[in-house]
Amino acid sequence: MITKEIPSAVRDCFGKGAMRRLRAAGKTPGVLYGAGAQALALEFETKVLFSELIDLQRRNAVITLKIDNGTEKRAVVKEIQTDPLRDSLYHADFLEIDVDKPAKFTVPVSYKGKAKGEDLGGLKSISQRSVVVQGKPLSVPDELEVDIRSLAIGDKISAGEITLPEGVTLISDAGTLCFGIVAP
Amino acid sequence: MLSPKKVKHRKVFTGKNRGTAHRGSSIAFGEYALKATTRGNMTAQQIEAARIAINRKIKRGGTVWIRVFPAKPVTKKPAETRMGKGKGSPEFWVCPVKPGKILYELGGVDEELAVRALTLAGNKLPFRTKVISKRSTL
Repeated sequence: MITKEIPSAVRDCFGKGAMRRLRAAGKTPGVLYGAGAQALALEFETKVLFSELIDLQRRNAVITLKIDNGTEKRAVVKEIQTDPLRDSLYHADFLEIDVDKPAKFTVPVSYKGKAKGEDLGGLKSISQRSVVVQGKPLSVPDELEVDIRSLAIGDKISAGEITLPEGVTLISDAGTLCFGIVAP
Repeated sequence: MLSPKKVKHRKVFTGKNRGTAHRGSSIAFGEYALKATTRGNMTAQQIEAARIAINRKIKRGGTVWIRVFPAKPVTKKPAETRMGKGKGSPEFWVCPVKPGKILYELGGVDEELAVRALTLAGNKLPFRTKVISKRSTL
């Protein structure tokens, strides 16, 4: 899984007016919660946070939050709030995780190659673009690749047939149809 | 042109168009999109005109997704009619558009062509628009 480091600071101001002033000063409010601890209000440099989040493109990533009080927290992005008009950042939620503890992640599936059946006139039918897996955050892949080159017309791939890395288990129903080549 | 197959009420109130779009404000299908930056009503004719403009430019090279649907009827009184005697008859269909609404999405084409096609589509519309890409939005 992708790893990132984002510097942050503990935020001591709250409320609508204070947050507007914070955003005007080039900072973005955020919050870190989870792992049984009390929620911690944070603030980020908007430019830094925006560039890191845009680089991620909502993919799974373990983010190390370097907080100005000297602590480091491992987290995943839980929610990003944006301005629908300007596409600027409003707020970011981070969920604290333990990297040694298995957790559930939704991982995108990409189908590589051109199936044999497609050359014979078959049509691709993508039913699932992501599956839910469980594993230690750092061992969960960014993307699951499935080779479809050998598929003929009528062949199908279900979630259980997708090869997973060691230590990662499938949570989605193994019988769920993911991909198929259907007759035209 | 797009229009509902069946409606519960033939005529509806004019209503107000306030606030910004939250639902339908992010790219869901394609790589590039046309986003409204001001508000207005998009008629079924305009939706079709913009769609044709995109398709002519991309020459059926990519995929176009239309993210708006004209579900609101607009009524009009006939010309030279005295006021009163009830509400006019439905004339056309519109989709009220708020700032931030994604109107069209485009996939399977390069950036230059997508920007050109979507700009042409934006020129057909009665409000301001901008072209955005999935890579440049969160």
